[in-house]
Amino acid sequence: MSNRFSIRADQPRPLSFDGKKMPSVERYVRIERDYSHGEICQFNVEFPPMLAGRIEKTIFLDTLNLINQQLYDAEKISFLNFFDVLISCLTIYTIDFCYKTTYEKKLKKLSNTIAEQNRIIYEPKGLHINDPRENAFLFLEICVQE
Amino acid sequence: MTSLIPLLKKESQYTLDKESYEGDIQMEEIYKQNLVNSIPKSNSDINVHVAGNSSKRTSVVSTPPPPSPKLTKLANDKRRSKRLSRLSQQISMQTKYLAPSKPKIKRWKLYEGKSKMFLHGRIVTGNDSILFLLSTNLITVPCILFMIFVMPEYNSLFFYIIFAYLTIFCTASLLKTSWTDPGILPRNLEPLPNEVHLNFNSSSSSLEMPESSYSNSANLRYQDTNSPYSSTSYLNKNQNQNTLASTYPFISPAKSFIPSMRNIVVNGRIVSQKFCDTCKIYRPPRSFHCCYCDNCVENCDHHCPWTANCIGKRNYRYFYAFICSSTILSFIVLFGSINFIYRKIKQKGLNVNFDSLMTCLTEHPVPYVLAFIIIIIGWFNTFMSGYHTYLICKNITTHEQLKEQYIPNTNKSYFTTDNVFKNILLVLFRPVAPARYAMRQYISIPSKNNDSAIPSNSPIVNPFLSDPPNSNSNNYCVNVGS
Repeated sequence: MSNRFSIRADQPRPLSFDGKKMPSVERYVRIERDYSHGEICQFNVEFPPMLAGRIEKTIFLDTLNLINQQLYDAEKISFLNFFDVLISCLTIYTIDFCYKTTYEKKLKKLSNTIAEQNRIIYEPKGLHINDPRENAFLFLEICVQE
Repeated sequence: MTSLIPLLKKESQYTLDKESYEGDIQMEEIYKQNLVNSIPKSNSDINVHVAGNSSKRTSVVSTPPPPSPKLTKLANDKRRSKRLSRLSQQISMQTKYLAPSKPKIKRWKLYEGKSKMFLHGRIVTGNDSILFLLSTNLITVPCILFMIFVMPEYNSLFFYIIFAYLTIFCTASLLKTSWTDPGILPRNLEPLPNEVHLNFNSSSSSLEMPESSYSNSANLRYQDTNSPYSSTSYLNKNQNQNTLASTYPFISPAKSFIPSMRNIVVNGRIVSQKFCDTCKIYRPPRSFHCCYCDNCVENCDHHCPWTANCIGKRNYRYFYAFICSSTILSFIVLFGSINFIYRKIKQKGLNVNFDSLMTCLTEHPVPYVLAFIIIIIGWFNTFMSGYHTYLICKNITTHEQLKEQYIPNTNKSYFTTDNVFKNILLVLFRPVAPARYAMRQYISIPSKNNDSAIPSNSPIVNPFLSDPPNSNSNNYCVNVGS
């Protein structure tokens, strides 16, 4: 019932991220969730020591802040979210079949952001950030290849 | 990088002039410096779909942009930025080694737990119960009877429409509560091989906790070799000895997974995060493992047998809508039928006493039946709606209220804000998350693992170890000219 390994073997992503050679070992680093703001999903902005030689600290923290910002945008209580829920309630939930909520759209935007960051920054260095959506937003996994 | 340009010259559909070489040099600089700000924005010509819960299949599609008619400076820059992104994608696609694809299966078939799925994963219910049928009938049947027998007395289309709308809303809320995934968390996310060896000849993979920020905690039970609960110490002691303890089946240490404690900070207070043994994850705070459904549910309120489902994070507003609308309906039916009886008695010019009530009963039995049902059952609805309104105003779940997991000496849970309206907004009007364990997503079939190092009753499989070694040779060629 796990989300994780099956999805990784399923994507058309390559076995080697940077395209230079076949990697021998893959390790995983996790960034845990930061529950200090309550129920809004945020990740701990920290620099794990396993990435010390692979990427610069400021770039990584920038990426984390970007992800946190987009998650906050998606989950905050705004008028759009409020009206989404209200209208779906008033139309007896029929509108859920025809219309994607703003939350879904923002999550898709987050997925695209992470994919773009992966493609441009992380994969040439042999790293890959797994989409937190597949891990049920419990942690951020970074796959480190050697 | 520059050696790939002659390859790309064959492949690309546009002639690469001087400006695109500049683009390549720029891209090299980007790779070297990794400046996030200077990355050109990719326009609509490239779509990259990552395997997420919303897409059924993953695909990487690059469609070429139409040729620009005029070479003004602005169009030039735009073309260059488009070429940059297209080039980067072409390089990334052509020089990488693709993983072998596996047969796919929908995820609801791999579900382990007691929830029931219908319609190929579109409907997720808990265990069956007769109470669910009873509750649907108790909503629809009295309302229909009311509409047929009692409403004609008032003869007002407005009330008909409102009452019909409320009935349909109540039933729809009930069905939606019952058939929505309450926030099931997927299993086996915590135990993870620390190192995955990608040379296919290696046979060992250590099943350890991944490196995370919590592994520095002092309470590392599983690494303590002197403790009797530690898995490694048990193995070391009994492996070479033919003792009774080595065959005693009550703890099989290779199969058990005892993780360390973990403390998290929530709103300024330290709370311990619990590890669920069945699902093998660290539960987020406020989630709960429901024994009826046999899975962890986020923000689990309670398991309601009337709706045949757990009430969790994604379900709660529909459940609240259901109980509120059912209380309103029950009040309307009760007062409507009592008023109906009163009117009928007054029409005959009688006083309201026992005889007249009996005569009215023989002529119109329906309002009496309705009033009787509502008086017996309506208490429960009223109590639930009042109780849940109280819980919403304080932003507490039922479990927290019953087990009194408050901040001590106050009546607040860890997640409350002080404002009642903010709490209501937080609970009811927060956007509904899509299901964490998406039932209708395609994933590749996890293959059977022959490795003896990984215990046999854990459903974790390592797809990298299970690939046959003869597919190695195909992975090393660069796909040029495809």
